[in-house]
Amino acid sequence: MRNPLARSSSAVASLAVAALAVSAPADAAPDIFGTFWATRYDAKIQIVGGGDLPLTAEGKAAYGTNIAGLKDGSITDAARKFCVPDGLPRVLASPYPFEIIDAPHGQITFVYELNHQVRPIAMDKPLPSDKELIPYPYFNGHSVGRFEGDTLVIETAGFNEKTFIDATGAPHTDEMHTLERIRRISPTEIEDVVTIHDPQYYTRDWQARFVYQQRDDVWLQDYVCGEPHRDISSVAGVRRP
Amino acid sequence: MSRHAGYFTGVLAGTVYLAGSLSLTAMAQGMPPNFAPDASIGWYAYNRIFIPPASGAGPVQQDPAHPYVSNDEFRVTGRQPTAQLADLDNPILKPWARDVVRKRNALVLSGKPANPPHASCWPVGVPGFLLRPMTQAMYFVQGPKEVVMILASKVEVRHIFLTDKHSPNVKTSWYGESIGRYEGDTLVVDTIGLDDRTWVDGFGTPHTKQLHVIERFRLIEDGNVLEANVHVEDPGAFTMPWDAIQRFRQYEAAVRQVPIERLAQLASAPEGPMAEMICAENPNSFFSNTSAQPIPQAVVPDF
Repeated sequence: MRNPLARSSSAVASLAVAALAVSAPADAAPDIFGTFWATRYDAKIQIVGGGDLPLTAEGKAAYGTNIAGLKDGSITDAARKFCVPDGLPRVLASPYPFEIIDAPHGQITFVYELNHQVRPIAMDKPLPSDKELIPYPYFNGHSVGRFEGDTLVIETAGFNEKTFIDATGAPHTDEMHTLERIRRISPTEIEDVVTIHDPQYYTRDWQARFVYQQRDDVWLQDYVCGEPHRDISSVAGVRRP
Repeated sequence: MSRHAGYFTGVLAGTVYLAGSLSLTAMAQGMPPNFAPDASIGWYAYNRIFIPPASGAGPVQQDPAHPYVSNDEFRVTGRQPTAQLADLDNPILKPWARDVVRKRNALVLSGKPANPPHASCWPVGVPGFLLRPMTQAMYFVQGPKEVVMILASKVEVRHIFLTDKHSPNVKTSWYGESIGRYEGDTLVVDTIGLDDRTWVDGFGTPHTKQLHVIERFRLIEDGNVLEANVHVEDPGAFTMPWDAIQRFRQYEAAVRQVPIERLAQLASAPEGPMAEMICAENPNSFFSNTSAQPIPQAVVPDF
């Protein structure tokens, strides 16, 4: 559902936009807003087309270090232990509901129940250069977005190296770039296809696809580390220890 | 220069001006208030202590014998910061609640730490949420079915669902269940289901699970100031309902309060959309060698 407040400001905003020669009319927004919830969870990220992660030798070594460290406890999965943000693309696999809100004006806001993560997507702005982003590494990176027809396209960079690609410890560097394409695929579902570009650890760009059910009947709840949370047993693949 | 200046400001300036004008026009036409006409607009509280109402029962205040100097005031004036110390004479406090506050006063006076759970990354709850955005802004995300309020400093999130009825069986939680509605130029938020682990204010004023908070948010002073009128009822902790006021200014107004020679001490974020600040990024206590609570953590992973 589009946001009346976002629409209410669109008329004047479009004046400003026209004056500033920025494109993309606000009414072109795709139908990807509301509350969503995945129906399956994979601890190991599933690559579009199948197969293993296309790791470089350096990437393989980093993955091996992570797997061994997570097993012997020398590496902490801080996203599950201290509930720091999961980072991309791991947050896209969350088995908890999340919201995509068309507000405030000039921004699309993702709000996740898991670890109360918030991703502000600055719309119609250029992605800053890696050099600009290096001083400010974020768990979930810095994101800019644009509409391409029925699709919200999000570019993200400026990550820290404290997160994993998935729950198995697949690695990334702080030079990773992600490109997400989010669109409605049925009256009740949207998809997010994410492309990972991280040439130091991966021999080629690769993709993963996440599908979410629209669940506007669900109200997001508090999420505090170590406390009981909502029932997520309906999400296939979730195993609670 | 703002760290986001390269891409979040600049071309936005004109949009901010025009969108701001629109929000005022919209207010005049009876449209819902727009607390975030632009993504860069966050709100900073003027003070960490609730403002008493013009008349009637009001919130716990600082003990006049021990003037309060906040860290934020220190950044502006250079005065030595002091701790919040409650005036125990406030008639709203039931005896047990007064005892709780008195014990915290004693801790402060003995020089021991008396930090709120929030200092160790636990949620701040309602209405304490309104006292926190001093060094980092509070943001509004106003969707069609929900208003999300975010404290940038620890990415704390409140969900306000735009409906007229609470759930039939509200489970208690840190932020409880908030429902909201627009009444003309005002967002009215009704919150119940708050568990009793949070402080009502910085004095350590406790509450019970009967706490019921009604907040009325509106823009005043040509949209430059956000005012929250807060009504608090909790027959478990308070002898009577009481009211409080909290006011917020936008970033630029906050900066203007700071003399240029003290800008280096200003902890406020640069203007621009919310930055990512993660409380638990330091998994050790911020207050090592003190009695502060450990931060929230999971003994076993959630999934």
